Order: sequence, then C-alpha cells, then structure tokens
Amino acid sequence: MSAADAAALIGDGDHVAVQSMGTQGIPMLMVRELIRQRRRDLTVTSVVAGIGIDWLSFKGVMSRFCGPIVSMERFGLCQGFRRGVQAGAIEFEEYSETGILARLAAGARNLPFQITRGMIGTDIPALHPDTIRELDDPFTGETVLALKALRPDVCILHAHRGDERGNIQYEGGTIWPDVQIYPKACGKTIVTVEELITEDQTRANPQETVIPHFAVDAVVHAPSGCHPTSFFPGYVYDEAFHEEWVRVSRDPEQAIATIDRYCAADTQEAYLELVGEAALAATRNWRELA
Amino acid sequence: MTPDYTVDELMVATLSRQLENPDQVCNGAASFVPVCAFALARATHAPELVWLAGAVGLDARPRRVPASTLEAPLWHRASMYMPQLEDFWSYALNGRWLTKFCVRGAQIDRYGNANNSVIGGDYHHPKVRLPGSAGLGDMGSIGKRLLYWTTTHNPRTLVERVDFVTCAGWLGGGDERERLGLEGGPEILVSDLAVMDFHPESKRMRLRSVHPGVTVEQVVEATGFELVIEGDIPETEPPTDEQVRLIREEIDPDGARLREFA
Repeated sequence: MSAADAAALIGDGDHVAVQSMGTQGIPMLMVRELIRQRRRDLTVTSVVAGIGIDWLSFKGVMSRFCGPIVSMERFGLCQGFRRGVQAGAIEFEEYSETGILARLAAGARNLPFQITRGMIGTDIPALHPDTIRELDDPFTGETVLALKALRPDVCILHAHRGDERGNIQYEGGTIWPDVQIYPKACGKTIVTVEELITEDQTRANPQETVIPHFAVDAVVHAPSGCHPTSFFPGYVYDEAFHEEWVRVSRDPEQAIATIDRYCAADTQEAYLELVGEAALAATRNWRELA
Repeated sequence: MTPDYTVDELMVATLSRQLENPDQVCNGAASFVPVCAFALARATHAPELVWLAGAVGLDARPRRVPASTLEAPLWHRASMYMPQLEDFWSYALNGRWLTKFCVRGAQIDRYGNANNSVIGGDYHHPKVRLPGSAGLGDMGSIGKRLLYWTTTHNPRTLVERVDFVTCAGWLGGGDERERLGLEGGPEILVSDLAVMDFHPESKRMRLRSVHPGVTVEQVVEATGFELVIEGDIPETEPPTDEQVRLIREEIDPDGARLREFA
C-alpha cells in the first residue's frame, strides 16, 4: 500500500498512537504524509515523542499530545511543540510512563481501567479527573490509581519486515513498548517496513514475527523509514540532520520551510534522494560510535 | 594550588560513591554524569554494579560514553536488550530490583520534589513548557531511593516550592510520604557546588559538604530556600588521581559529560 492510501485510514480529529522513543524509531514517512495531506486536529500518543511531533506541531496537524514526554534527548526540547503549548494552541495531556501504558494496557485487553502506583503524590493525577481516579485495593485497602482505558483510533509503527498478508517481523525482539501494545489497543494499525517479504519468508522465521496479520490494516514499504531517527540495529539517528533541525526550529518560518522542503518529496525514494546517500551511510556505520 | 580535577569529575566521583555491589541502576535521557558515575563505580569499588544502559542494554560495555545516553552505541556488548513494556517496567516496579534511581529536575525544592513539566503561569498556559514526566512521575512514587544531581545550583533550579510536582520527593516534608504509603524517597543531591541530603525528621534539604574552593555562604546564596546547616560543614571528598584518570582516559575521553555543563 502507498503511504497516501495508508494515511487515508486516518481522519481529521483522530487519536493516533505513533511509535517513538525520542531519537529512536519514529515512522517519519507517515508523519510526512499526514503533513502532506493536511490532516488537522489530531491527538497524538507516543511514549517519548521526538522530531515527528515537532513537525506535526509546526504544521498545525496536532492539537493535543497525550503521553509522558516530548524530547529529542541530547538535542533538547521540541521548539514547535513547546511554542504551541505555551501559546495555548496545543494541549499536553501529561501522564507518567506507567500511567500512559496502563491506559493503553486496559484498552488492549478491553478492560475499563488498569492500575498503577506511579504518580501518587505528584500533581499529575489532579490534572485528569476524567481519566485518573484513586481506588482502594479491595483486598488490603491500599490506595492505588485507576487509569481509564485508552483506545486510540489508529497506530503507526515501523518494523523491519512485513509480508503481503500483513505479518510483521522485528529483528531481535521488541525493545520498545509501542510495538507490543499499540496494535492491541488501537482501532487500526499501519506499519511501515524496511523490507517487504513473502509469506514463505515469514514462515521461514516465525520467531521474528511479533504482530499477526489479522491485527494489521496497512503495510507500507519504507526503507530507512525512520530517518532522521534511528532504527535499531540498522541505523542510528542522523546527527547532522537533528543539529540542523535544532538550529532552524528556533525560527518558525525557517522550521516550516525545512519541513515543507522534505514533505514535498512524494515518495520515500524521493525523500531519501533529498537526504543524500552520504548522510544515510553515516547512520549505518554506528558501531564505530560504541 | 589548582586542583588537578574539574567539577564534573568531582560530581561523577561523588555520585559513584552512592552506588555499591550489587545495585542495579538504569539511566534516562541525556544523563551523562550518572552514566560516567556508573562506569566509574564499576571500574573501582563496585565491579558487580548492574547497569541497564538507556533502560535497554543490560550490563552494557560501551568502549567510551557516546554522545547519546539512550541510543544503541550505549548498549554496546549488552547481555540482553530489555523489552521496556513487560520486562523493564516489571523489574522496576517489582520492588526487589533497580532500587536506586538518578534524577535531575529543571526545579528541585527544599523537600526534594522535582519538576520537569511546567514553569510559570498555570499548567495549561505555562511560561515554559518542559519535556514532561516520562518515568519521573513513577520513580518518586514506587519506592525508589532517589539520587538527585544538578549542574546548575542556583535559585532558579533550587526553589522553595516547585511549580509542579512531576516527581514525588518528601512532598510537604515530615511524614507526608509515609502517610501516603510511599516508600523510598530522595536521599542526596549532588550539585556543582555542594552535596545535600535531607533532615531525617523534617525532610528539609540539609547541606552536608561544600566542594573544595566553594564557601558555605556561596551555597546559601545560590539556593532559593533556607538550607538546614548543622555544625561545621566539611569539604566534599575530592576524586582520587586514579578516579580522574579513569574518567578522562577510559570512561569518557570524548568529554560527553561536559554536555551537561553548557
């Protein structure tokens, strides 16, 4: 399926869970496609949002972030997101990490809520009277927090391989929580993949299959699909790209011009041509950095 | 005489002394001082220290500290990649493991509460929107012993009361944590000027030592609230020549830790 066809599964106002761990594993082809198609008023959930959320913020695609943190790690704050929140244009529905994972876990298993001991004593629960309530353990009376089930409309993931039926494989297991929980909690699942394979190839290595085809609605071919973020073990983040983004994102006009330049590429191939082979090659030599 | 170490090395050595065999520790984003402290502890007094690099790479052995404390180069030669949803959080929440957690906050207050969410204005219209809770909103509430560090000991970081409690410290002091059923709590703050802990009853932050070359008056001046000061305040133990050598030559020859001292 093309990125454009996959993006058609996402409507204005939808709640979209996007794989992201700061500088790691963001399905950027779909982020660009949502910008190209001018989606509006999305709520986005990520575990650690990064540059993708910053682009959606600058382009007015996202009006609410529901999750624990927005940060590009060593590259600092996401300026478009920060400005949007400070101006009141973007809402940050903030939870701790166990908080958002509890909400998604309840959604995944069709339970009304899931509990956590996280956030007790902090100012976070009082922000969310509709989704966080104190609950007494029926066995001991201990107070815990109940987190209301969350079922986003769609999720977007990036994987190493996917076959024509939609079976999804990851190399070396599922390090990131997004992969394990989003397909079960979300109404639809879009997966961009480094490599398209056949069902026979899947059957040759079933131990690497982590999402079954029945839970997958769209598979989109996207080699280097997380660039400029990393996708372990294939490539690390593009340092120069992030540093340039830190520089231009101080100025909204320059930031938007940069985003528009990359979003003008209407295929992954065209995007990678803009980035250039030298930059991509540098991200694949990461073992020298260890 | 000019000491043959710098404040970053002093902080790394001080934080490393808080770790012992067979603690398990993990690190979060842009946490260069703790990562260096873990490596130093392992190279000296705590060889059995278990380090979960970037909360993913178990017992990682990076040849040197890389430019990111989350990405794959940090997980070099790990013995396991820890899946975060089920494994990392289960081990962290279980109570038996990962009992110490290093925390930095944009604001830390007199009772060791930390803020990484918003500064100024109200929550929904903040003057400054910070990155957000991540795991901090959990670690203060699930029985961890919190080891704070900050490279900016000044009245903007060390405030009377945080604008928003992202990480639960001693809350309003005294027995408030206990009354909420919370175990653990903040134990120490290693700053670029001094080392603080918390008074056992009031839970107010207490000055324990000033770094060589820093006066008590300078620390008082740089702190946005009244520190508990009892008796004569000693100097922080400086790093040994061997600790300095290890940090400079083996652990962090590229000086990644200096990213925290911008």
